Amino acid sequence: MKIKTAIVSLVMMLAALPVLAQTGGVRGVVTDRAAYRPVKDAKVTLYCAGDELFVYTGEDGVFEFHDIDDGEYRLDVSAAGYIMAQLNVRISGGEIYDLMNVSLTPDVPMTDFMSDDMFADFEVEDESGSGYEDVPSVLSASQDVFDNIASFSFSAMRFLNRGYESGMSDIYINGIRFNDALSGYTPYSLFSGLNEATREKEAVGGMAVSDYGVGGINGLTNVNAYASTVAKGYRFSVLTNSSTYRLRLMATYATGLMDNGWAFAASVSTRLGGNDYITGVYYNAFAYFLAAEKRLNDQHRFSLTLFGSPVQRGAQNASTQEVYDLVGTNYYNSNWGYQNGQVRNARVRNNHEPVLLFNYEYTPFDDLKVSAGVSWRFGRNGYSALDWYDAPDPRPDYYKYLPSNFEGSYYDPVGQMWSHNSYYDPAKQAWAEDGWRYNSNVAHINWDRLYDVNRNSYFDEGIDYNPSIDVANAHRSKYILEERRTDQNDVNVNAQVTKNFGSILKGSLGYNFRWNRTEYYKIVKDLIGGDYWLNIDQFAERDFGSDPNAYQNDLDNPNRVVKEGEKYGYDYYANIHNHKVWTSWDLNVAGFEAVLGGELGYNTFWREGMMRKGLFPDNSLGNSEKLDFLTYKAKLGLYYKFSPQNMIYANVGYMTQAPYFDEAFLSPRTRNSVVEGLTTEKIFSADINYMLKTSWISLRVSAFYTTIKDQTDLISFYDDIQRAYTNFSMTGIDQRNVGIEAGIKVPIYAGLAFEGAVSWGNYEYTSNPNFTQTVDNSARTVLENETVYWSGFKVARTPHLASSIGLTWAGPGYLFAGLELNYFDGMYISMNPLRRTDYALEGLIGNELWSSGENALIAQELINDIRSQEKFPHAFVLNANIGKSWYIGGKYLLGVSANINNILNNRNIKTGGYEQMRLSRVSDAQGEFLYYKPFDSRYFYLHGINYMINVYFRF
Amino acid sequence: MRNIVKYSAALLLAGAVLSGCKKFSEPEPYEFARMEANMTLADFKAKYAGGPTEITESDIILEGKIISSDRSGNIYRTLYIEDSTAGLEVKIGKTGLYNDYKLGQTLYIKPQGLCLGAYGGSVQLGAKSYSDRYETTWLDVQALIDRTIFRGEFGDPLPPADITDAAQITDAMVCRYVRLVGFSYQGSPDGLHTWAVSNDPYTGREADYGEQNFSLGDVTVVVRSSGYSSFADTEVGLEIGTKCNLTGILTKYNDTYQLVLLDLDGVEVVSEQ
Repeated sequence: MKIKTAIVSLVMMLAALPVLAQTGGVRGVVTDRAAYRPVKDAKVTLYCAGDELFVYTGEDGVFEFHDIDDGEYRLDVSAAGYIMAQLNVRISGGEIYDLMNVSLTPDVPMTDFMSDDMFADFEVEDESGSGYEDVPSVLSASQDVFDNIASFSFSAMRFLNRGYESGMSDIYINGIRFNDALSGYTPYSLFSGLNEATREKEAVGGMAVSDYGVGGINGLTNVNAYASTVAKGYRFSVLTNSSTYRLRLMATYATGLMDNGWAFAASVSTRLGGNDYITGVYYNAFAYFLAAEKRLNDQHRFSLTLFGSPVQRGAQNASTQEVYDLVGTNYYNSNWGYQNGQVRNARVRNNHEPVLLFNYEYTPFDDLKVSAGVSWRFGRNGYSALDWYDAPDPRPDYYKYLPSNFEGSYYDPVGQMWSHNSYYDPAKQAWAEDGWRYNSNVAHINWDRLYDVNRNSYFDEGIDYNPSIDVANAHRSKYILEERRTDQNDVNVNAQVTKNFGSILKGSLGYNFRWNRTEYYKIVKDLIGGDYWLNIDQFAERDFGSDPNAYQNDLDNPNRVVKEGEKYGYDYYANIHNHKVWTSWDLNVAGFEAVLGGELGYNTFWREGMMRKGLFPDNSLGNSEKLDFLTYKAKLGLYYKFSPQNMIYANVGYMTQAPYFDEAFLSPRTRNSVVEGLTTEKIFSADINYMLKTSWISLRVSAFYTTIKDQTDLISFYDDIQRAYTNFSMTGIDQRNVGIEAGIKVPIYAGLAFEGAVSWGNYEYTSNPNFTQTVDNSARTVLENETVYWSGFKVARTPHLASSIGLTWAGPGYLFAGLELNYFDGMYISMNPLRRTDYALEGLIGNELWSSGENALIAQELINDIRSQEKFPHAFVLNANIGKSWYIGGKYLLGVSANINNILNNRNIKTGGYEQMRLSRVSDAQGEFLYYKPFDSRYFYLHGINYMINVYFRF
Repeated sequence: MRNIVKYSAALLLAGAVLSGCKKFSEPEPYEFARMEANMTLADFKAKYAGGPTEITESDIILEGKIISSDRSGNIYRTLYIEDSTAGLEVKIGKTGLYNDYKLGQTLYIKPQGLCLGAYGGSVQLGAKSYSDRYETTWLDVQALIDRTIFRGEFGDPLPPADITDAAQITDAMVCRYVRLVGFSYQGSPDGLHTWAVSNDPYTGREADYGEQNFSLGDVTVVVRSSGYSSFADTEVGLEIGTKCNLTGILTKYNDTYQLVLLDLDGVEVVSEQ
């Protein structure tokens, strides 16, 4: 009863609050984030009941507004040479709200290049998925001291914030979530090259609830891609660097919000050329951005935005250390070869996915905002690769072409000694080494030979298949370039209402519907000198050759002749429909703030086959079963503010997430079969944080704890033991991410400041998942319901310890410089689950021969070789930057900035790597199987010393 | 300032047009090797000295026309050449050899550093074998192939040599392209009704060779086919005694003459019984 009374009283109090409205104000000091000096002549604008109140700061950087009604307001702070800051201030109780320190970041295009650098490919063997590479998860223009340092200093080491993979952070554009519908991946590639136009971002970190949605466990960033949010005026820049591409040109123009209520913005850019380190990697990229916006009487805001980034980009491939040592560099790339003396890369990404956005905002009252948006993403996403029919593997670093293929050593448990089998041949090893060292046709793709083979492929080829083929005059290509396409049509419809109840309570309610239909298929991109390709499944032909129906990729068009640009192999759609309703509530009383967020989702998806596969005539064409999942999220954040700049806060949340389409089907290229035991992921996460931001120090310290359960993964690759495309499907993957992160920045003396950041965590698997291996070309299951014993092993793809200390200096006359030393440790290799199954230990386990004496010790060593997870050595990286800008005639800004990275020129730093997805059969001298051993792992290395120079001009 | 905008737009546009789509000019056709042979295959094979025989002379050049194709999978990682004096098996240890080495194409060999060895009494040319399990081994390193094997001009495939009399089957004919004329089917020693046994991933059955006997007079030739050939599971479909013409490479394993079919076109039924 008492509780009820209390609740009633509380509600009545809350209801009465607006009536008690008083007038207060807001004040603060505008300072330079780098130099810790007051900024004079900064324009501070307060948006108040349809009016724009503004003041300019003086020498001391101080500003103040009086006589403002209680409520929540937007405050813009802008100054020449700085990035505009936008804040929300809440005035309550008739007090002057002291913001203390509003620090502005010098508008120096130092970090905007990093986002491109991250796109340097990090290919793994996995060929499933929608064709997006994993990118580091910190890409933040946030004001947070840790995020700022981490995004700049840790990204070269492919740091993942809190150890979460890319899809765990939410990226919104104009309030609409844009994470990939098929894989969840962050969609940076959609707006790559549009750094100026998409510079304005609002970000919350970690577990926090954003104004735009409940968010996940790794922050939510909303990119404001409106005409009015692009910085007003002309901006041009020319950038060159030695690590990614030669040249970037960018031009941007925006009108700002004009008196007639219109705003327009346009930006174009190009990125061209290769780099000093990886041959074959190049950019041939463009980008465009067009936006228009109209505001009507401060209540209505309409906005239309179109942007796209047509990109052709040569990719890099990781190789084994053996190969790197043979060619004498850790930057060898096996994807290219000479064609007529020109470097040609076989693996080229060719994307152009335009995005069209329409947004509407209605603000009938200061405390009520209604917004709605529609977006459409479409276009092409292609990735080329070599394909071949009944001909030797054209890839230079195929294991049979390496000297190690002739090592042939094995441990003989009978003779109790190391010995050699029939593969062993030191002379051949020497010949193989010779070829790699001195013959570019051995060390790289031999394009000339591929042409030669195709042009001369006419002796009776094809006649058995299709009588229409003119055998005498048509050459059947044995090698082609295929292009795997993942072409999306992604439509989002969004609506949101936000209401302030006085200055105490704010509530939001939102709804989102997502409709996605993506076609997966491949085409013949280049017949490489031949005339046609046949649409048959060569692996099925090999295994079931006596049944001409069995090896048809498209049973309804048997033995179809395929020309350049035509589809072959597989063709299917992903259909995805998601509904989402969310709400968030923010209660703010006397220094306490509580944020509550909740979300309900309903996801449906299915596969729709467009080809009737010969091996699966009843299970490949048409719709699969429809999979549906109900998901939910609940989050609570509690803040205690000693002052607005000094607070302690904690978040806790539990959420479920539907599996992604890319992981849900056993062999999506061939059939509708669904992974068994598919269920939602369950995520629990909590963090506790302390933040201090005064005129002399910026500090944040956080600790986090997260468990992610019931994850699913599908790894597809060509397995040359099975001699076919195979799929590893894993369910029941659990992991735990626990750690701390801290960032600090303090001034030392006269523009010199110290900054440091550290992220230390332990990210590991906590379950032994279920594992099934299937092949594309038969219904056979190679391995079924094996257990992957990897509980306790580490989550890879990121350093578990990343740290940075540095000095920054902001001198007179817009001169600045910085030096930082970074230290990384706890980097692990991405694991092949097969190596942690019982299957991998066949021969060694349950065999008496290996169970005692010396043999038992050797067996243990062999088991360790298979089971253990490689940890990479720790690494130090030293970087420096310098820059200067000039104001000319009080209007034109000319600036130049330069970075030098990895000054210590350490070329042996592994940034990542993966275990190959298969096992090697070890046999004795008589050819009898003894045991399995792992194939060598493949690695990526950090580039040696490299530079970036950017010249920019604005007015 | 308008000009700056114009110029930069023009620059970007020019960049777009210039770089466009990456195009590569097609490479020139492969230049065939042309050499003068200075030793016949028969003379060369005669150098085999009863055990692994490494070729040390630097100046030997051999020439022959390619008479085999691994297209059907019945021949694996090896090829046969022939000149007017003899046939020779060259153990080029790669798969899909028919893509690079065409029936009828001339092949030149500079055998220095290679090794003659025998398998089941039949002489082959390959690389020096490190293990003593085989007398000669596969040439499966590209650098070694590039140094010793040279592809000459294409040409019409050689016609098979007709064998119409049992007495024609001699060691001199081994490794040559032949047509056994009028041989009668004798069935399989293992009771096999197909040419071979393919592997079956479902049952775990492993691929195995198949043998089918054909005879002329008192000589029996075993048609031996690989379980990896595309016709492995094809029914032989012949009555005992059916007369056939069989075209392929004549080989010998110890005392048994064998025929390796290039494909099933090499089996021609002449008459029932």
